[in-house]
Amino acid sequence: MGVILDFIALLRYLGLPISPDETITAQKTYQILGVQEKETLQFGLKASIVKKREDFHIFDVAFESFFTHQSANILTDQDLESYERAKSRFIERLEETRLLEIGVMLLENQIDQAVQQVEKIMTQEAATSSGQSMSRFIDLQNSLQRAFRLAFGVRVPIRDLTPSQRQDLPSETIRMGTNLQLFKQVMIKTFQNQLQENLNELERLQQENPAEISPIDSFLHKDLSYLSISVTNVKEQLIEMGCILASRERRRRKRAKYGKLDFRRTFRKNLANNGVPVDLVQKKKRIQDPEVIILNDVSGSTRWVADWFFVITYAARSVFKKVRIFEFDNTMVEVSAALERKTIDRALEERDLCWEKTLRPRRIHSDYQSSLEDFFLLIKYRPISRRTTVLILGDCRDNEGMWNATRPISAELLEKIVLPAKRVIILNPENKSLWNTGDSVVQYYDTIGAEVYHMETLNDLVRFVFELKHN
Amino acid sequence: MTSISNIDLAAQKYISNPEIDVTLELALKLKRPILVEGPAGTGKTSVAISMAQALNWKLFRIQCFEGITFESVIGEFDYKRQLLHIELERQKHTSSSPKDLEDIFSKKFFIERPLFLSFIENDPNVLLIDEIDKSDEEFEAFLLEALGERQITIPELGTFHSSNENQIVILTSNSSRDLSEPLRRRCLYLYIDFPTPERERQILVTHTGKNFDDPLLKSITGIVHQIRQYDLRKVPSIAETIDWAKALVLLGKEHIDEPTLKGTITVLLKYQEDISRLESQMKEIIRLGST
Repeated sequence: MGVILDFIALLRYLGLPISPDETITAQKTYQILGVQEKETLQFGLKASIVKKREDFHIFDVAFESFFTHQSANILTDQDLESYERAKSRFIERLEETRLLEIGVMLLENQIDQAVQQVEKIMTQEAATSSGQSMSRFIDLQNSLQRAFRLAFGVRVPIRDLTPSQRQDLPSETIRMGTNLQLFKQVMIKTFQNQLQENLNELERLQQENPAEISPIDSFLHKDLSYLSISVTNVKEQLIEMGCILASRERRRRKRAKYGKLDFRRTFRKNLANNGVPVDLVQKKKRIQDPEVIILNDVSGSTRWVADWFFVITYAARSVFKKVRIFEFDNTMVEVSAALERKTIDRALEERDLCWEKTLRPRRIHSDYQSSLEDFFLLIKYRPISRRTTVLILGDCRDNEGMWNATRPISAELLEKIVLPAKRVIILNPENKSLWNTGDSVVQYYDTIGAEVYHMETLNDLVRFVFELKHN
Repeated sequence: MTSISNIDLAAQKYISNPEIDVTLELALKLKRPILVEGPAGTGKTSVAISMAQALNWKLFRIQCFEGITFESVIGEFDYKRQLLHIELERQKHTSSSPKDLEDIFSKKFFIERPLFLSFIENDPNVLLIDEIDKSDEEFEAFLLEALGERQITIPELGTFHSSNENQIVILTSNSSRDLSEPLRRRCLYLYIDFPTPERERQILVTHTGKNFDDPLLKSITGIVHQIRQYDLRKVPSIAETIDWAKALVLLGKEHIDEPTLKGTITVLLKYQEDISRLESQMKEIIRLGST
């Protein structure tokens, strides 16, 4: 039993959530399979303990190290890179808030010192006594906790850094501690979690009234002009937001499915209650997904909104199955296929690839006329019908479009979309006072029947897109 | 490698690997359900079907979908039969009181569905809950009792505990949504990825009747393996490889050249954009796949 408990302790320490029930299963597995055949035991324990494919790597490394005591190169460049990225982003965000500069300095020093100290402890051959190592390790964690408290003025729980008495590192694991790489991995993983928690905490502190609205909602309602414009800084938050929105949408759809009372089924169900209608059964409605086409302006002025929108759409792709997404500046491409990629990075790569196959050379400046001409070619096989709603996300600045005597040619082309479509909605992120100034052609699009709205917050965009799906 | 006695998956044309073997053996010995995840077309459902056939056990299958309910997997009371029974009893005994009536909420009036049948079955059986990720979260939560305590509760009939020692539950998922932690915790976990070229060649041997060393099979698996390295909308699954191999055998091909690959690529790839993406790479794919 001792071997498996030690191994489980190590895995827990590496961040794998293993329940007591799984520990019992692992022990039984160990009894059934024995240790004669290492590969068999590895497969067996993996099936019993690890429940996600993402954790296979940590398990395999820990297994190799634990059962063979061989040093393994477990810290890849990618791990280090992601740690450095998380750390610098964290520091960056702290600086952005212009809060507690002293705290930032302290924190940064503490993290560096902590890593150095761990390295020192682990490489010390003299540290044979587990008790001694543990107390030094806990000292280190306490100092880190103090640093966080100084930096944020709040007590951040760092229970992951401080093993409880029950979870005390067993002697076997401490012996493993001579494997510097393994412990660096532990520290880095813990720091990463810590940094992420603190990023979330910062987000919360930034809100004016954190008690009333969730971080996601506050993010959605923030004035776009005050938000950071780079998608890389907020990619994770956008993904999280997209997932939450998709989950809300799924719940809403489920509720929307239920219609009027189904008398027949209600009577039938309540036979068990002597006919007293305790359980009501509603009829299920058949909801047909409307056809939605979204055109995103990715020219310089609105590029960042389009990027944000793309990331959110990617995260919520499970509810966007029947939505076609196009992007344009002076030409237009369809990027819907990118949403089917397995990771956001791949999706962004695919999106870039789509832009390599444009119908005409790209000039970055917006030209609604040529873009709409391309649009008609792209939808040649699935033209707009009376069920189609077209949503255009752009500032209606037709930089390079041509004009006829009275109006821009792009307005004529847009009219060809407005006539057959159910609705054409334009969401303009530009300040309303700037509409119809310079090359802005909002009024011409307005007169042909397109509905132009000011998109003040990200929520306006999200609300429109999600509401289109049930209007 | 520890082998599983009595299970000859190969006889059912299922070419296993040591990881699958060990997990199936553990499931049998520990009486634990298995959650099988992996890309579509890698043999997740087949492992359950083949296992049932190999052991000569009964197979109960639940195909999950969005909106699947308790009633569709456990069962429901036969409403018409209950009404008829009440009517019949009323005619027989004009002065009948409810006491005279046979309990219409007994098992006699219950239409049993796969989950219930599997639990009350005394003979050895495999219960396949296919594509659990397609079901709603509520349904997943409902399964926890069945998977963890090996029992199901029907309010009117009571709790049924499965005392069948020879029952194995296999759940499959394509990971279209994340399954809950409690469900994962109750199962052994098996991830079936795309096979190695060697394992895939063995699979083809069982389906085409050709030798393992046949150069055509070697090229097929090599090329498919190369194609899977590309970031495609839908990479070819094992089933598509088998179809392609059968097609090439039917066409009498002994080796694969560029026109052959171009002419038959639609058997492997199901999206025009994927085909277009590989069009210019075919020579290279054949070269790398054949070495």
